[in-house]
Amino acid sequence: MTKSEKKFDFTKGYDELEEIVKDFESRELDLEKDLPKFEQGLKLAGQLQERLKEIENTVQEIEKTYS
Amino acid sequence: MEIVLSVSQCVEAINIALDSLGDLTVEGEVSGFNVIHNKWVTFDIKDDTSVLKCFMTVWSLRVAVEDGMLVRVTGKPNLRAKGFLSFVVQSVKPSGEGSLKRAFELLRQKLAQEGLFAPERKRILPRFPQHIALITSKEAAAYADFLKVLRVRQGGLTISFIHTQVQGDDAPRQIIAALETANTELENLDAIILVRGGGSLEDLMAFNDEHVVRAVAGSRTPTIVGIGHERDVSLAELAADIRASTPSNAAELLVRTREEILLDISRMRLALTSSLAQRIANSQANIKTFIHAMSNRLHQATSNTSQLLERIRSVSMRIKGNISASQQKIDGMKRVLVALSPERVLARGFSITRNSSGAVLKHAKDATIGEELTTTLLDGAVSSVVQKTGA
Repeated sequence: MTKSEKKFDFTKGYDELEEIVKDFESRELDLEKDLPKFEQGLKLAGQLQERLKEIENTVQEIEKTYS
Repeated sequence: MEIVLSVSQCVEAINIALDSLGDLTVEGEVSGFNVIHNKWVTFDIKDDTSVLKCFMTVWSLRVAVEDGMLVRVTGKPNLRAKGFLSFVVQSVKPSGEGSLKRAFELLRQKLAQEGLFAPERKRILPRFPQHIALITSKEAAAYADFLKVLRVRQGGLTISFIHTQVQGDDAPRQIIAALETANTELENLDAIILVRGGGSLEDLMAFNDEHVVRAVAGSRTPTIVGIGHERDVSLAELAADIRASTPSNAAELLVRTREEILLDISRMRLALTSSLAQRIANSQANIKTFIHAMSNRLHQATSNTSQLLERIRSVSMRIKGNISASQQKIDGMKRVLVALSPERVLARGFSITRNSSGAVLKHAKDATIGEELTTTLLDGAVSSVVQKTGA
């Protein structure tokens, strides 16, 4: 996992993508103005898909002695 | 020499002797159960022939107890200054399936009354948990099961694992401490998972421990509690935000599969491109409509222009006709004029005669005898004198 992928906030990305889709479906688009938003949506979808390719989970043991 | 003790010394000596017995576990039936000022608990345990007076703190009492319940108390006998023997209890455990069930039921009722299991207290887990705390025993199958199922469903998560015992006398304390650690020391924690394998009601006692149940209910981070193939639900599960049926099920309830999420993302991607495609299709339709309208207008304009040209042509034709007719008239008139010009008349042999004052003589009576007249001919003029007049 690279550093940039680690930084990507999955929940935030997903929420943002959902927001863009909802917005796009609710109104008439302005081709010129909405194109950057469209591109942002595709970028987010790509990042989310990329993130889901990760196979392994990281298990870190919290060393505590409770006895 | 006889040793004489004071009463206090005697009591002290007896207590030292009793201490040497160490911790005792005594089984008996509870009677006269009483809680004083919500601080102290007193009751008797008895069998067919004997009674033991018990004393303990409310804090140490982790299960619900009532009269008639068979319990095992662990503690030390102590001779009070007032002269009676009190068994100072460190822990009470219901003894036997019947008592366990009864204790469970009593505690369930009590905590339910307090609202600990109320549906409105349940929180919703984050949609995409990224950092979770796993509390269980490392040796337990539950640990491996949970991680295995989680890995099948999603990767890239961070699991902070806290090892605790999940059964035995020390399990409640460890679980409570682990919950505390997770809640206070782990950053950006999305959920706490507390799991263990299945077992008898006695094995699950830690999950029915009042303090554990309260710690689960009081967790700042949403909790999932799951016990393997349980026959009876534990109180910790009831207090959790989400109750899982097994440790594997805890993983299933925690995260959706990557395939499900990928499908959703693909759907959203499709929705995005469809919105845009629809918009472009609309614009193309608009452009077509526009072009159509423009071409109609253009056609209209062209047809107007050609009508105008036609009119201009016909007007100009008419004007041309008029001009040529006028020209003919003018030519005719020109010819008449030319025919009538004095030169042409003179050429034909006529002449013009003027009197001495220059006036043209038209009548014979206008001439006077002796008057000099000038006669203009085609190529010059001659003078003559009037000798005779008459008409």
